[in-house]
Amino acid sequence: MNAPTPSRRAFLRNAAAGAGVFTLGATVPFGRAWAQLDSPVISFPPYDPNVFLQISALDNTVTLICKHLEMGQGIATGLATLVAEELDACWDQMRFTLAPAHLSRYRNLEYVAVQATGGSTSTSEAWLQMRQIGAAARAMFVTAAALAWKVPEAEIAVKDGLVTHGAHEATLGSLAGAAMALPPPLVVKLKDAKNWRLIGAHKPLPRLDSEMKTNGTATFAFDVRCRDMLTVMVCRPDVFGAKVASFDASEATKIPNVKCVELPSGVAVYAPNTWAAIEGRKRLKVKWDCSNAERRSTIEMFKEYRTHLGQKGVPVERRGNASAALDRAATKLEREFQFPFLAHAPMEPLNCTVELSANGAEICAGSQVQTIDHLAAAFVLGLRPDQVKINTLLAGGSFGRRGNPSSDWIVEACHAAKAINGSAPVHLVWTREDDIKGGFYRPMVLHHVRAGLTADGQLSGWQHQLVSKSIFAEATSIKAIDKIFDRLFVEGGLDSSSVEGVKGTPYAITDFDVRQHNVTTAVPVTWWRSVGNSHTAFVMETMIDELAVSAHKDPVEFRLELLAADPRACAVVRLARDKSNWKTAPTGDGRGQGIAFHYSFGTRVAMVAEVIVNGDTIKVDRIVAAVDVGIAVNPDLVKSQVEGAIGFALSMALRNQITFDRGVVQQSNFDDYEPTRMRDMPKVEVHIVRSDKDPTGIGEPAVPVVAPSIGNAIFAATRKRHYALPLGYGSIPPDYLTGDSPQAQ
Amino acid sequence: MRGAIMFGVPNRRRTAAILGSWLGAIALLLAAALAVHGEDKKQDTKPDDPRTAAALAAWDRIVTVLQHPRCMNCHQENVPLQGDERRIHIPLVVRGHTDEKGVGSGVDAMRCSNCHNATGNNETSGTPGAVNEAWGLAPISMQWQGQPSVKLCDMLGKWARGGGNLMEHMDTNLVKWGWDPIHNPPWDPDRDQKNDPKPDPDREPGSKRTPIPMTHSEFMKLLNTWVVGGMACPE
Amino acid sequence: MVTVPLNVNGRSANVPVDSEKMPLLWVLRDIMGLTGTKYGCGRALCGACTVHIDGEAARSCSIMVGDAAGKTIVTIEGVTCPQAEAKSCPQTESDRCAKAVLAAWRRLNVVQCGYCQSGQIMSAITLLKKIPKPTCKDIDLGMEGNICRCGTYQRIRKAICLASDMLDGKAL
Repeated sequence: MNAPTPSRRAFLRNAAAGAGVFTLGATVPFGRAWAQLDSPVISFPPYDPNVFLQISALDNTVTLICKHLEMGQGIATGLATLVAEELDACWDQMRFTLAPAHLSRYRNLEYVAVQATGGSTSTSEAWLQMRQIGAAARAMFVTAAALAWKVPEAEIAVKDGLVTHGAHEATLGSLAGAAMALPPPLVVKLKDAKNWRLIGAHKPLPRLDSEMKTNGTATFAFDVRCRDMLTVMVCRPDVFGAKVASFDASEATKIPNVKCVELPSGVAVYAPNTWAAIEGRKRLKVKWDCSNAERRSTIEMFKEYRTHLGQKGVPVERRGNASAALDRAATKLEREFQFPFLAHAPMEPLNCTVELSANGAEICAGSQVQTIDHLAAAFVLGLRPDQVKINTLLAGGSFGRRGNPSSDWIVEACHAAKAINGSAPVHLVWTREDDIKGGFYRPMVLHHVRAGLTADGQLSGWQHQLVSKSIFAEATSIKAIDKIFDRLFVEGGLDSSSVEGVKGTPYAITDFDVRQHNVTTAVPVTWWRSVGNSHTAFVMETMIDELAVSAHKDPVEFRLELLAADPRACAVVRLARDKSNWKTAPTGDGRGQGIAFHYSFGTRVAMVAEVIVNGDTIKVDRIVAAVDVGIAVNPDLVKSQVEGAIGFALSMALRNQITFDRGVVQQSNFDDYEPTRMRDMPKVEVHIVRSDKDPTGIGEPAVPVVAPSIGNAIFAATRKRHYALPLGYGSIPPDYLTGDSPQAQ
Repeated sequence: MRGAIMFGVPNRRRTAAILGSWLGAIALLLAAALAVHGEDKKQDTKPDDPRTAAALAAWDRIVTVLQHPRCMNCHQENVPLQGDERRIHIPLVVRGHTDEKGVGSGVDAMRCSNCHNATGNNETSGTPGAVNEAWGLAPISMQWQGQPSVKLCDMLGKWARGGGNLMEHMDTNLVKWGWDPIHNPPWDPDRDQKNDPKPDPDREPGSKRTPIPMTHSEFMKLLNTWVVGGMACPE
Repeated sequence: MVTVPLNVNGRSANVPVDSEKMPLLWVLRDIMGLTGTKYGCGRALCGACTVHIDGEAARSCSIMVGDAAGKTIVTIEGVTCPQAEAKSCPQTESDRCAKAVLAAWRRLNVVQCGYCQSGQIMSAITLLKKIPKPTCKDIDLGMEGNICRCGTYQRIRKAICLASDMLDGKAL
């Protein structure tokens, strides 16, 4: 990999000043540690392809160094598509590897201050950059070929990974040595959309990670092995905020080679393999000091939440005069909505390896926000950031858990390594029980809404209060990082992630008053796929639906009226309606259709759900989804993300919750926190709006729409309205119990 | 014996014959008492026979074992239940294939033995297992869910008289599992009491599985009393 | 420390294990280095640990290594090995099923994070071996034990049907 030449470095700095893009340290309030991370120069166009591509002369493969965490969303394939398009590589020669933590090279261009995968920004933030990389590399290959063949550059063609001129022909691999050593061009020209072969291709491109994930060779952090590695499991308290008072390891250490050491988060059990660690921890006896712990039950917490209603709170969004409009309203609806804590429960529980050496530390993790993990690790280990290396591995799901602002698992692993003076590499492993009980949940939320209608069915006033714990306020144990988060995300006491989806709603609500009440609890919280939208969409869409019914208007028409100023929103609503036999599907026998729409992370999604309700069991039979993501780089992967969001959110809608009994989490594994199963899954159809707008994200935006579309369908089927999640329906049809299965005799 | 003494003269051959006939009679009676095959015992014990009363009293206790979750959870129509809370088995499994005895072993790719060991309980995973025996749903003829005591009594009695070896079944590892659903090998008071007092099910992984609340030997004695009393059933 | 005779992916070895009660999952992953089989729950609730034992799907987190001794074990790494499951199934049949399943999985871009997929594939292979033309309900019941948090179920279902067609010589 070539470092920029001195003249280019100067150029880049000047270009920065000229382009008006801020440089590190100038605008964003960074601490000294941040500045120590790496070169103070942000790379920006032209980007150096060597930072992102490795092209092999041996096997002619083009490997994308993917700046984003591949956690299933397909971003490695997506970014490779962009590069391959402009490079004119052959898809079959594309490969990927995940970039390590390195802020200046791999920063998220939307967030700037961090290398991070989140907020459904990966495709949009890298959209231009990846194509520029591909185009720059292509230009370098053309130059190299021109020099080698002594022909004009303009006459050289590149197609499907082959560089040609007349009788001359060379693979990218054979020219790579010469090409990639050239300085990248200062200006690149990107293809016109009409010439795209790969971007937006109707025929699905095979995912780059398909083979490794189907033959057992994909390496997740859980699979990392180092010599003399110790597996570590931590015994944590049953209640949040408790501390170790004392512990008795006498039984635990009867297991050969097991030893126990106290850490800030609990007592660590070190063992030569995972089973020994499990068995050792089972025998460990710990006494806890619970004096500062959260000891309330869920009911008491909600009771406290309610006491905040009616208080001043933090203003979120205000226009017109909501209370006057409500006074005028012919019909008034007043509703309270409750949402429980939710666990992320990725299939791969949290784990990472930390290896200390004389020079520093090396960490392997499925890290989602590498920069924060990097800083936190350096802080805990007492090292300079440049002494800490973080290798990013494939993650077995995350849904936000691996992008925790407080880097809890990385910090814990570093403490575990430090506690044995780095005498062996440690592999910190969380069990499923640790995961379900380990906190950092989607916050519990209470909503209180008053909305009105005029006599002719027009919205007249909307007052909305939300009560929840902020994710960003005091998120970490490191003051410097907390300060940064506060400055970036918490304005005037308002954590925007608490209210997104109510704040910024595209519905034309002229008299609107939204307030947030922040509560405190020792229960830690963090981003959960779609964050605030995971609850706000249910409230907005249930209220809008109920208002439509009160106004005797069709729920689709009612929404279209309120979304008239946003044609893209109307388009997805219409598309979902048209593709779903809206109002013409069979009814009766517990059948019903419901629609929901939501706009989040730049993307508009509408879904029509069809359900069959049978007493307290339900079958979600079909969901028709319409999405507007701008240009769909890989339409097939967009569809799979929507299908996946439905699979992910279905159990959250029907049955999942984390509840507390005197401070103890009542759930523990996949039996009492049961994800969606094969037989729960509806038939899903995904329709993508054709668009020439720049791509927006799809990792999260479909999640918020699932629960309300089902809730509204249940209303259509049963006239029963739900104001809380989970909806509480079982999903085992009666015929299973009595033996209607295919092989029962 | 008395016959030999009454006749006064110690005649070895006659003593032997009489002894033999007494022993034979005792043997016959014992056989009659212990046998579970053959004729309808009901006719042999009259309602006011103390053995009948004992049998009825025994049945009232036996039925609590049959209705205990450790037994009832697998004596179901199509789907086994789990735990003291008797929830539907997670993940959902169904009767599926049945063998010649009518035992349900699950559908392909979701057979009981996919998870349930023949080495016994898997303490690490909390998955039950019976040593050297296959896990499965009881035959539909022994579907007990929702059946009242008198019906259960009738079912068991019919099965026993029809050739089913009641005592043998109740002594299998599969049935005995109900008395120690946690350990592997099963907890033995003589062997384990000192080092490992009978565990608190709350400490173990998985759903709560309280053992059957009487000893297995007591249960076998009750069964015997019931059989001896003609397998009497309540009205 | 105990040694247990194990036959894994066509090769036999006396494997040193902590005890006969050690779950097969950890023997495979930590002692034999076969990390393709995954830990998801440790309680037979999620299927990520699915392997084949004597031709049947088994949850290795709940099978003690003692119970697997002397049996034919196949993991995801060995699933297209021609020597797999020679004892209990015609080896060509399981190999054919595996190849069709893998081809269908890749053609339909089934995977997302991929962590559950080893288990899904192992269950699907067993399902197709026993039921070459599974109905929707067969798939529901047969794949019930395999959880996917990323929600790839619709594609798994389609891939099983596609694999079935492939085995039938239909889809090319």
